[in-house]
Amino acid sequence: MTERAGQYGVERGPARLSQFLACGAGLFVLGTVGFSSTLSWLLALSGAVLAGSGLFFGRFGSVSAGALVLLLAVLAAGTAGAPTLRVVSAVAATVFLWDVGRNAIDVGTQLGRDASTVRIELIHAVGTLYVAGLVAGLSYWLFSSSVTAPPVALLALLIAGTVLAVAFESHGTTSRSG
Amino acid sequence: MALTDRRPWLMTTGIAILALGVAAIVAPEAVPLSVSPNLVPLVAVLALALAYPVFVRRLRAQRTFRRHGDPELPAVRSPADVERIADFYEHDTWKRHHLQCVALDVLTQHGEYSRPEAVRALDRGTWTDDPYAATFLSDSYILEPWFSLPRGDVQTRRSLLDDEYAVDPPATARVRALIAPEPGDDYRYRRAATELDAYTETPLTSRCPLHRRWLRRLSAMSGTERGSDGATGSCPPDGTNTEGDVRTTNHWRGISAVTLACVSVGVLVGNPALILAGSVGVGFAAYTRFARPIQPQLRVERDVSRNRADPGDRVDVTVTVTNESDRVLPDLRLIDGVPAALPVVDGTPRHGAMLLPGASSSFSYAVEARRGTHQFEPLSTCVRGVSGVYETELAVESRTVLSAEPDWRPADGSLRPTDALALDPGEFPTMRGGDGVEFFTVREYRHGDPLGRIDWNRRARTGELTTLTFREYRAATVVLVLDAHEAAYAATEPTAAHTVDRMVEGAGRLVGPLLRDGNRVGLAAFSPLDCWVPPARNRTHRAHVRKQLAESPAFGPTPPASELSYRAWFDRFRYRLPSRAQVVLFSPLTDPLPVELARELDARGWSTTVISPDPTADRTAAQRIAGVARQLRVETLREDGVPVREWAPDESLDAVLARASSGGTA
Repeated sequence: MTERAGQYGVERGPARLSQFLACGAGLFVLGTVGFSSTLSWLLALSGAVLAGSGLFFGRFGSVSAGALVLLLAVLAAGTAGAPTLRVVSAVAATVFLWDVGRNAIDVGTQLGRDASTVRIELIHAVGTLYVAGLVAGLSYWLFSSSVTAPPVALLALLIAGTVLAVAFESHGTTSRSG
Repeated sequence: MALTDRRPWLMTTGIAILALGVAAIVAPEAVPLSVSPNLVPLVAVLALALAYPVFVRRLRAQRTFRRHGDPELPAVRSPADVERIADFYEHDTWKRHHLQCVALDVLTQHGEYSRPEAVRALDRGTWTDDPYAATFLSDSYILEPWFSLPRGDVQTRRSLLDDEYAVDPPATARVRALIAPEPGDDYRYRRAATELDAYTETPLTSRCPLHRRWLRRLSAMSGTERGSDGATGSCPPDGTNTEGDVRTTNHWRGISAVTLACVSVGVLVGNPALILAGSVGVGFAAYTRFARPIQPQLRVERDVSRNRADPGDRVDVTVTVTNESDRVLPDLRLIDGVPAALPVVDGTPRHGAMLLPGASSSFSYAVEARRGTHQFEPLSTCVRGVSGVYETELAVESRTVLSAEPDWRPADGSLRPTDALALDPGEFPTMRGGDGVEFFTVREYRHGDPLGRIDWNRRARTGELTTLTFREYRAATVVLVLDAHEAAYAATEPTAAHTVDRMVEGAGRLVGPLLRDGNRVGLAAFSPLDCWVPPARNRTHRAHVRKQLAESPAFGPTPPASELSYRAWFDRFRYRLPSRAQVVLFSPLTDPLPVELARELDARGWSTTVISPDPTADRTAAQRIAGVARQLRVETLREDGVPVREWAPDESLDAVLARASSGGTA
């Protein structure tokens, strides 16, 4: 055990499967929106590097910052007129990277790399992927028929989106002791 | 928050407006409303502005999840922790002051300096060739404002391993040092510690009379550390479950910023793709909103390959966890409660599992048995849902005990501990011939010798008158005192045997030869837990002393929980100790208390010898300083006339005694 782990104690790096999945998501974002404009290329690259270093060294802050920069890259690509499917899937992939990447660090710190954690990582990743795919697919299908929309529709969507996002934001309950 | 009260109202409003928007797109004729197009960007900017507080709240939200200690490592501490050097003093000037005091002592004892000269040498930096060490200890050097040593996280039992501050730093630290133009204060601290350590290698030279005052000051600044590992909280009785602690992880905190940003930028720019992308954020927010905490019902069975082992044996442990509730447990994280004194040598006590109702999962690992009786601690579990919004923590008890008795290797027949330990020559059998039982030598007859002692055989053969003499046989009283208070439990590295284990084994092996030499042997523990065996010499005494060493809670595998009150202990001990007894004190000298004990016993007339197992290492700066401080204590005792036998980690006690009886001072 001492040969595999660090010199003593547990190998606490991020869990491997989730690391791999999150890196895949990062590359996906880079591939889909990276080539829309110079700005999006720069942002996507730096976001990917940030998130990648966070995943490698096990730092939450870097992963979150990387995901944020990738989101900005998607916004830049959207501004430059990237196709709808790419933008939507890129945002979904960014959120996937953010979630699964931080879960990797989480699991790695709690259980270490030597423990068998593939099942729990997989369940979490599959749940996130399912939700992302479902929502992205649904909304894309809903709007694939029309490209332009009257202002009132836009406004309504805007307000609805804001209100729902705020309403759904989970503030959480305070912990109850057992 | 007031918002939580309005949340259902907000939700319904939002859904209604969403329906309106969808209708306006799908069937524009059905919705006859029209608004000015300029209003849209305005609201978009407002929405973007709303993203900002969400972002800030996310930054401030503490991500919480249970951080566990390392059950894989035994609960021993490095002498650096005992000295409180690793997480010593948050104020950086105190750290340097502490090191300056140590440096002054080292320079006066090992260097050619008197006290004022040493102060000057430190200030000018002439005591060493290393420029970084020299400047660091000089008062004229200004410390960087952000200089601070890492807080040794004693809770995680990894504070022995401050890799970043190791004397040979790893490659990343070296690269950092290359990029930074001037080495920082932490680097200088390390260099200073290394130089001081090198100084103590040189033999003692001067005897500055003032150094004792400084040494007492140094000793007063050290203290015992209350190490405590992560508490597992109160445990329910075996097998039953209570409700676990529920906690929000804040994992998804801030997801609404995605929606706000995408939708508002999309509207401002006029790209519907981004607006659509915003729906991803709403979807995730809804996903987390409908999460609920899980209360698990678990049963744990722990199987040990054997309950009684020999120290050093490998023992396999298999843990099986069963889900006894009717809910799926999608994300179950388990950490087994390995006993505090046992290291894990194969596998890992951590496991992740997904359990359907009624299903079970098992994992196994191996521990190395150590001396003593060890109780397994409860299994720690953390349960999360698929989304990971809530985490429930629960400790499940399963009582398992593992015990190991020390094996007393047969004592070396040629061991003569009484000579080797330099006990008071007036007390124990010497090379003088006199009255006794064991035949010693023949000498010439002197007037007055008793007739019964004349060697008549020789008289008959040769006509000479000679007298037989016999070895003087006086019983000496030796009391073995083992230092087992909390600071004495230290080790060179986390998986090595700690000093109390070594001392117990050594003392157990010493009892036999001491008794065989005709001494009466007693035992005492320098610990808040009482252990006292009065000196005696009968057939069952060796077994009795060994039984006390093996079973007394004073010599348990883990440090005592309470603090030792020196004065109360000494007053009790001094009434028990026979007046002509001699004391052999086993102590690693990791803190000032045993030094006090040895000096006080010696001053009050009980001749004392100290056998000191060395628990120091030199992998990090803090460990080196702890080694230097211990060396100073050893020298203090020797100067007071108390012999100290140093016992290296890889040596056996036989080697120590052999070296001592051949005349070495170490």
